[in-house]
Amino acid sequence: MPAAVEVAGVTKRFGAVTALSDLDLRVGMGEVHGLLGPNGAGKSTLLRVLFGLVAPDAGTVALFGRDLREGTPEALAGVAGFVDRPHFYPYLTARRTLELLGAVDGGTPEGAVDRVLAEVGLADVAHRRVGRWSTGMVQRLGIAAALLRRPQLLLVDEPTEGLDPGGARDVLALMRRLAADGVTVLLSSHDMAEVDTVCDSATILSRGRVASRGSLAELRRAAPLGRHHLVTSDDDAARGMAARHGVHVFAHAQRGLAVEAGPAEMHEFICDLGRHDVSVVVLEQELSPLTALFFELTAA
Amino acid sequence: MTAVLATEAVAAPPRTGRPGWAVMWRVELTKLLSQVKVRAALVACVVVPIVFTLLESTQSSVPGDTLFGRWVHESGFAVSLFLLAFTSQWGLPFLVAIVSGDVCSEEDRLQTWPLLLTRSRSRGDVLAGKVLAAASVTVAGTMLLAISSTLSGVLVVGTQPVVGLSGAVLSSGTALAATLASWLVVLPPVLAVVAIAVLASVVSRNSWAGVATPVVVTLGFGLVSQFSAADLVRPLLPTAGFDAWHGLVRTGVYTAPIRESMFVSAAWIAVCVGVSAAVLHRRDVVQ
Repeated sequence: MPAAVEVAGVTKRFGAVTALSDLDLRVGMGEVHGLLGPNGAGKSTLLRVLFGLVAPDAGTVALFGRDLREGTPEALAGVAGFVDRPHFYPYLTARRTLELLGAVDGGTPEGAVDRVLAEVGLADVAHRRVGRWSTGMVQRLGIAAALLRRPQLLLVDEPTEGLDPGGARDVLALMRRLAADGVTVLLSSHDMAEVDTVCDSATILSRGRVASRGSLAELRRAAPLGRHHLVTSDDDAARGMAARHGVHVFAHAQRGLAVEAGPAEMHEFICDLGRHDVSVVVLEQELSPLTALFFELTAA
Repeated sequence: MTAVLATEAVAAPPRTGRPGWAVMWRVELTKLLSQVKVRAALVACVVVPIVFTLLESTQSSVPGDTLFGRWVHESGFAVSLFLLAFTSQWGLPFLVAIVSGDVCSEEDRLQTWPLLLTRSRSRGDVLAGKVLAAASVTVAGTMLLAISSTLSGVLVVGTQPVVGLSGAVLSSGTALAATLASWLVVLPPVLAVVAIAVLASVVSRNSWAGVATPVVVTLGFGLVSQFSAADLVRPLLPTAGFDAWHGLVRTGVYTAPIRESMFVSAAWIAVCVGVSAAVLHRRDVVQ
């Protein structure tokens, strides 16, 4: 079975800047794959290459086994999404926009526009021109425009950008639901927590190259220790007990302790604090292992 | 967001048998006609001739320096021909600028190229749709000018015969036919200027440059045509076709300039659209 996305040896230069360098990527059917990297890592350029918006200088790209050549819309059959923020025509209403995009795709079934508008929570404002919409509403319309194509492969660039926490949660839930329906999702993000929430696997890009890739479980195993902020009723005693559990402790920049430990060691350490009547006042994760890995690999 | 819809509720879009360029033509036409500036331009094509005719009918003097200007109080057909002579220099390039100058650069300005190019149509289809839509609206605007100026002239001034460019009087019927045919004859050069505007819009990626170019180019070509040294070049300029209708409003009609105009305009259209297609096809869409 061909992969949904197969990128081999892709290089793209813009003048003296190498945006992508000999990059390989494989996303299996039905997978939710995260594309991670700091700004300028090449995530958006890679998505543009996948959409045929940018022609690579070298390498090959195949979607569902079809060679992607610039200007051949057949290669994008079943593919939808957006790069960067989606943009629309300010003089058109949301409904008219989707009707026109449906027409570009060869027509939409009766009621499809209404249903995708309801799906993204824009049914009530469908009659309004898009020109003065907030970033979050435009983002939702971008998702609606993608869903209208009934994609088998969804390529999305930071889809929760500009959304309120509730909207972001809903979008991520939608990604999971699409994946459950068999849709392959390639989610570009610079937010490790977002990828951790929805993705099965991820590729971390740094300066146009693949810095790491694998399932999230594999990445977690390769990740450095996570970091917690810990404040107790007796930080000196806690510091003394930490060494017994292989937990690294140092002074926190604000107050209390900064603690680096794996999940098992952290668990034992906290239980031990309780056994010694040291109460935990504050315990919060400052850096997940995956985020620590992201920083380590991208030098961000 | 509500979870009322799973993607299976959205059936696969049925493919119409319509070719891609025809689909994009309709889409681009809808976009153009949704814009206030384009609607305003089309309304102006109707209103301006009416206002001019009404105002001119109240004046004691006539604009005698322009073709048919001295007859605008004598025949309604002269009103339409006078407006044709005036608008072919100023009005039609302006109409082209408003309708066509931004037709591609709009996508750069609004950053909407990905919206079109990540769907089911090729870049060639998209450009063809844009060119055809711009040409359609411009032709519609020109025809509105023709109808409005002829009707207002006939209703306000009358259907009297008009003195042709050869000095002989053209009967009312001949004058009506010549007037309408004259408006049709300016369409090839108008479409050539549309193609120039589209090329400017594609190459510059800038709305202002796209809008200014048709006006500046038309005026520039008009200026060049004034020099005797440009005799060899003049027939090759699309703007030369704006005068081709002169052969129709006379006794002893001659159509050679019309044929030349059609040929030259077709060549300009082919070159401008071809270069636009090549530029658009090779472009990396990075905005």
